[in-house]
Amino acid sequence: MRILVVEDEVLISMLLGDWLSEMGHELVGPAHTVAEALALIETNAPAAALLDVNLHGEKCDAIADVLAARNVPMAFATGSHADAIAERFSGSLTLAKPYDFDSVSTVVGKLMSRSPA
Amino acid sequence: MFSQLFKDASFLPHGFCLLWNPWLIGAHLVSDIAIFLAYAAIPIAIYIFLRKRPSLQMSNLAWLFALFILFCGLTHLASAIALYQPIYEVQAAIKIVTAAVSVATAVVIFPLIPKALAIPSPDDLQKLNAQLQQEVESHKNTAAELRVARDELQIRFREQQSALARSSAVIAALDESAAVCIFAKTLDGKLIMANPAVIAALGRPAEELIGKNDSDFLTNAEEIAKIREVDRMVCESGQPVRAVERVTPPGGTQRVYLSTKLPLCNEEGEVEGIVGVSIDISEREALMEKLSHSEEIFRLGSEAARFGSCAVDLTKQEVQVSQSLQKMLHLPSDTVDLNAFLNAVLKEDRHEILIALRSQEPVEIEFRAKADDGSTSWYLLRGQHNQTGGAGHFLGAVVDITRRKRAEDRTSELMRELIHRGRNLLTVVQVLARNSLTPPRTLQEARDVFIERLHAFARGYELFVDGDHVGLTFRDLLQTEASRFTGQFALDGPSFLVNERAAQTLGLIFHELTTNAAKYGALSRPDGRVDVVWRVDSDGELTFAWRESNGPPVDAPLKKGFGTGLIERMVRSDFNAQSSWQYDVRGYVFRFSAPVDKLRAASVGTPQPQTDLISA
Repeated sequence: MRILVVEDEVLISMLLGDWLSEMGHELVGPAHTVAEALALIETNAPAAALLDVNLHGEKCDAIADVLAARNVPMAFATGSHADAIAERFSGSLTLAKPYDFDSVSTVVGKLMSRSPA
Repeated sequence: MFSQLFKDASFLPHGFCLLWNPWLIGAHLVSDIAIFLAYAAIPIAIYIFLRKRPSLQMSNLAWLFALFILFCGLTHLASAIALYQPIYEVQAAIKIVTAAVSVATAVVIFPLIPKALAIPSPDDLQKLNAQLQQEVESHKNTAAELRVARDELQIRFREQQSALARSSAVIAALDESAAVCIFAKTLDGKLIMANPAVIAALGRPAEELIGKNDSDFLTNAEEIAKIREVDRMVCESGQPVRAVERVTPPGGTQRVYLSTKLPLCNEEGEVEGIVGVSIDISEREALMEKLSHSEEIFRLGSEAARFGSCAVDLTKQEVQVSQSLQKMLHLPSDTVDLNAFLNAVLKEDRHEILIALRSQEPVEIEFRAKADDGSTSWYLLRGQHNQTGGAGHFLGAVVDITRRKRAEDRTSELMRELIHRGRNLLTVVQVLARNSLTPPRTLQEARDVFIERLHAFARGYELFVDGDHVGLTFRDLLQTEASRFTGQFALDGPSFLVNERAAQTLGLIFHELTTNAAKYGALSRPDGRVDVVWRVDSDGELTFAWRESNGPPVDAPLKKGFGTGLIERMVRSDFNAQSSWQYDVRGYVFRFSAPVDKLRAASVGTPQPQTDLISA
């Protein structure tokens, strides 16, 4: 499955990319900014997405809105209270930072079950 | 003829004519004698009257009348004697004299009638008397009134005399007083009077002062001008003028006087000169100056320390603030009403201040107020009710604690960020471990690579913990890596502080560049060189070039290593910029350009141009 990773911490995005490859998924990105993410959605049409809530101080809401409109399932990675998810996405999956391989694997499994593809 | 008369004594007494009728003789005799006696008595009465009233008008007539009466009486006496003795000749003689006197009296009396009429009658006299009485009465009243008026005048006179005596005593006392200078001057400024205090103050004998001008015994032109100016004002306005004057007697020190000068007027009310009374206030002035000096020191100190004080009167709802506090809280004056004071405080903190002001215990609270630039300043209020001033008087000290508060805020922000970063840290370590501890490295090699990468990352982390007080510059980060290769590096570019995120990223980038160069590039040879050049242009664009030379021949690698990939991604993600590799025959060249604001620490000015070449 093609999974978009949006994460501003380069090292973490690299780790996520490695793990997803190990799980047998195709990595889209990683995108480090909102603009990069939106461009990747257009060109690569991901089937699911892992979104870091806070991207260099910018909220990921614009990305989430586009994904929601396309019915792409997503999970929000949250690190602190400041990274609160917008209310309209309050029912979405979350991935608490710091995450390990197992928690990422569990969330990806749930994303797969929600994906229409 | 008389002798004929007496000689002829042959006449008979008159009694014969009466036939000696005893009744008739008796009647004549008694009547004539009574008439004579009565007539004789009348002149006696007139005589007595005239003696007692010598001022009587027409006294001569009275005497004539008395003579006339006397002679009439004598005729009756002669008739009585003639009854018994025939003295008809004597009787005739008496009658002739009587007739003469009578005629004379009658002749005199008529012309005297108008004169007699002019003599006021007793009625007139009585009326006149009554009138006189009235006049006397009214005169008596007038006299009584005059007495009262005179008494009053006397009382007033005595009062004025005692008032004058008192004033004289006061003037005399003032005149002799050493503390008060009293003097008088003419219109043209000549001293015409000076009491001993003036003479003592000027330090010259009276004869050198009286009749002289100020300029004759004073030397300071400025002082003289000021004194004349005041004198002129008094003469022109005709009003008293009060002024502070300074006088430096020759050879003495300057004294300060509070002078009151009044116009000296003549009887017509024209100003002829001035009278002055001066009190020496030099000591007071010196004290005031000292006091204001120490007040100034306290005020400046308070302002520098951002310290102020306040006194709150809760019954009058009034707050007095020190000058420094007035400035700190931007109050319109040093005495404001309680509401105005509270308005200077942020709305959320007003209630707490009110509670503190009413507290009977010593209080210590923090409150906020808007600062000049619209930011919020923090203040500490410490105070208590004045024990001596009674309830309702709160005395407090206010200190600006904004810096401390900001430091506290910074600390708690750091704490939050630390927790956040701490959560990521493990992930980062995992990534570094996964990419370092990989074959074909030996365990030893893998461990070194891992630890070095950790260190490079940690440098930015340390910087972040130190906050904005001790920062790392772009050059510092390069220097750290360059210091491992003495003499092989040349760093050329401006120095500027970098923010914590850039520090972490740059730390790793420079580490990976150095590691690659040491492994495959110029730094793998002892004479290999790395020239690092970075510039910031006027648009704020940072261009960075890492150029290796004197290294082994290089080729583009078949697969990007971890380091190269990391560098590319980090430049893209963190600096929003593109990087490029060049595999030049002379050596690797790495470049990137990014907006310098992405890297630079906030609140740091534009980088200082620094083009000196530093070799490390």
